[in-house]
Amino acid sequence: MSAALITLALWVPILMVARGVLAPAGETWAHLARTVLPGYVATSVLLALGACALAIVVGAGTAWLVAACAFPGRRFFEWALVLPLSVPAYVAAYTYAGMLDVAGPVQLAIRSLFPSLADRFLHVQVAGLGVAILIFAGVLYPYVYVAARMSFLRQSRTALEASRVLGRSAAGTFFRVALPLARPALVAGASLVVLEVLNDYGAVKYLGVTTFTTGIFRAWFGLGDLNAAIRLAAFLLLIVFAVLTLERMQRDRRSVSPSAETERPLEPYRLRGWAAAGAVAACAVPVLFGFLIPVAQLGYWAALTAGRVVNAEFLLLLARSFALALGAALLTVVLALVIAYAARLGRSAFVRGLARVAVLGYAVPGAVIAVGVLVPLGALDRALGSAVQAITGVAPGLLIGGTVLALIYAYAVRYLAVAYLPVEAGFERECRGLDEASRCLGVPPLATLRRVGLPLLRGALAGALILVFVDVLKELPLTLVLRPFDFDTLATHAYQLASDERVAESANAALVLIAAGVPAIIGANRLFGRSRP
Amino acid sequence: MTALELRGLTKRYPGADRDALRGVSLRVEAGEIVGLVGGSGAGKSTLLRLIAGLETPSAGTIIIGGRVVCDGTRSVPPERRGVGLVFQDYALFPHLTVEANVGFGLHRMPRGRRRDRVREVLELVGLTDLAGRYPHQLSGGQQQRVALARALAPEPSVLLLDEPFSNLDALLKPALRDEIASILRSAGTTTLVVVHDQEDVVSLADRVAILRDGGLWQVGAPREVFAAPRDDYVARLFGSTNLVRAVVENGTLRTPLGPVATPPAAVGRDTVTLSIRPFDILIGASGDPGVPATVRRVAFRAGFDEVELVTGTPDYGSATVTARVPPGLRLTPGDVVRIRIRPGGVQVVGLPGAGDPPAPTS
Repeated sequence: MSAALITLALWVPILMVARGVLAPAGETWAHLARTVLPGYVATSVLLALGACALAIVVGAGTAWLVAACAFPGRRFFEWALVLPLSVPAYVAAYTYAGMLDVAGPVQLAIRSLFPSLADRFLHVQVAGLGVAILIFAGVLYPYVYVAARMSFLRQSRTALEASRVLGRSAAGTFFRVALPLARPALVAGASLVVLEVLNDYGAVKYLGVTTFTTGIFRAWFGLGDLNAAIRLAAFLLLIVFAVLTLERMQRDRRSVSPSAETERPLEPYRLRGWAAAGAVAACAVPVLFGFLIPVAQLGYWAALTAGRVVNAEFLLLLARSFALALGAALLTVVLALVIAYAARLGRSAFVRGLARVAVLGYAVPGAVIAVGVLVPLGALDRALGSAVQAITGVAPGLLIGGTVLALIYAYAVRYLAVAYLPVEAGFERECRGLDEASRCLGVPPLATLRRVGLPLLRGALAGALILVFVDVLKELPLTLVLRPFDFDTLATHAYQLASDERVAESANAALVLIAAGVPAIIGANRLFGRSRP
Repeated sequence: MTALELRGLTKRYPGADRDALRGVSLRVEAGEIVGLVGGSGAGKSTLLRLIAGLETPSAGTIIIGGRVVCDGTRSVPPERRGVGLVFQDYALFPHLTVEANVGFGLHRMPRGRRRDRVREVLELVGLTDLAGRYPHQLSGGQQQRVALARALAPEPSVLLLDEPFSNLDALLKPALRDEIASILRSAGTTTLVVVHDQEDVVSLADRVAILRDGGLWQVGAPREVFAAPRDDYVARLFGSTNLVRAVVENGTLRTPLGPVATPPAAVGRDTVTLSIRPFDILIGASGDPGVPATVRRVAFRAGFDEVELVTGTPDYGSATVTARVPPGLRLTPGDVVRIRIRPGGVQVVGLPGAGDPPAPTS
């Protein structure tokens, strides 16, 4: 019962936005639809498809190399290839822009190497659709990589072994067997890339690419038309659900059932000479450009500016960000645990259906959720406000909207899935029939959760907590919209500095975000590589 | 006294196109051990889960110890049914010791009393020495007994066992089965146990209930059911067998394996289907009594040879049967031998008065 209420509460913002389609269209909307909407659609689709295609090439290719071939450094690349996921796309965008800038290290190096060029200032503009595609693919390909590698190692391993026994080479097996069998995994990974691209606000804004998300912000803050923003958000929601539906449809059609999951390593194809060098290069390039180069640059900038930036105020910012992320993560994990356990008790198909739906919050872009949270909270505030005024005679102002509470609520809506899936998988894996055994021994549901569920789920709960923590820490669009006045987090702080052309100063906060993300991502990859949405 | 009564129990899982159980009615007397037998998908495990309260039936009533725990309108949750369930994979809590596992269901008992009860049950299953171990430190047979002790500890009014022997290796099984049987007898608990083969049924159960396609197909003492299987499905559940047609004539049965005295179950019928176990076919040299048969195939098995034979005489008709013979016989394909049925070695398939059964499918 309470689980049903929780899931419903988490669904309110999304329903609010969905309802926006039905509301009468204002004048602004008509204007937007005539002028910029086709552009938003085209840019968003091109950007998503481009990044997605490139991410599949990089992700599936490198996954095959480390899963099925032996070459120097393979063990290292196995985990290093997930690292770029820890670099937020907006950080990567302004880092590269800063590097290639007239005063950036690249041009400085060129000028010092070729003195004849010393008076020429190359005007390299890091902006536009092509660059955005490169940057998104560069930091998001690990979604495809992780899914593809799991598929190669687990689901299709016997088929791969059979192909090998039948005399196929590494390349032949890859194209004839591994890729077709991994298709569901590739699509799952690729749809995560698409969802992340659609969610992004910071990178596209910085690169001057006008997508839906930037459109929502512009309609709202630029034109001050909440209604138009809601309609744009609803439009975006429609695209997201189309992506999810496509992903689900192809998943249902898959005919390959996973074979027994053994951790026996696949006997690798041994690469020698040029082939081995090529493999090393193919794996090194994504790690280099997606992680090492931007992190090295950020490190350099941070070293230059830390003396000025890292002061008491910065430490306060750090503490505040961590506390906020921890609070949101705790709440989200508790909610996920309640819903997952209620779904598992399974008395009501209603709760199970709701749970499946609530998990979709992760697919909904932060800007959409922000819009959806503001509307009901605004109404709630007005109601509360007039109640308080009636009793005390004093108008209290905003009670929930524009406070940290609203922010935490929105985080829970968006990141429920990040906590729910590992918790659910933990129940599946660790509890199998054990909670039923406990019930049969006369222990009621809540006591069963305490005596059997919690002790066995410790690992899964900790993992879920870390994942949500890191995601909240680097969340940008949601925070930008819903944060209280003058309230900064590491993410908004870094983004604001970068937007003000103070990229070097922003490096300190960005490095903290990446440093928090790296262990979480490596740990998650090892713990439950497949259970991220 | 009736300890457990099922009335018209029906279960259809959401999205399934047929009932997992349909209209199962059964009474189990206090202290009785009933074996549930049936092919895979027959509904055995579903039945146990319904009784335990882990699933809600689509229709029907469950009465445990005179208390209605489930009918169309309400369903008592599993923790308040007082039913013990031993899971197929034991479902021992990996984070608890043997002692804590066994005491898990005794949470309403005062501490001292609980400790006594745990010791008592561990003694019953012979595991007192292992009380401090964790499940992963135990062998399969020991885990099995811990699971049984845990289920018995709260003194359930009904004990359910789901394929208790399926996870044990063949060498361990007979000894453990006899041990479990004696534990169950000494505990005196009303028990419903899902079992796989006929030997389990015979050594454990007072009565056997056979499920087929979700319905209760035949119920009776193992000996009765073995001697008079309702149809070839039941005959096959009791181990590999030869099903042959026979004609009743002047007090004898004309079978493809020669004449046999008519068993009471065949009296009053024209033709019957017989079940003849491979061990009940005797093979002799060409001078011995019996009908001639040609050896078609000989397969080596552990402890015996399995011989496929083709008979064919104008008087008795032809059939292909399988016999099990001591390995010393050294038959080769093409040999001609004489075969006959061991006296008393036929079972008439089909219930008396049920009319002629359909021709057996092989």
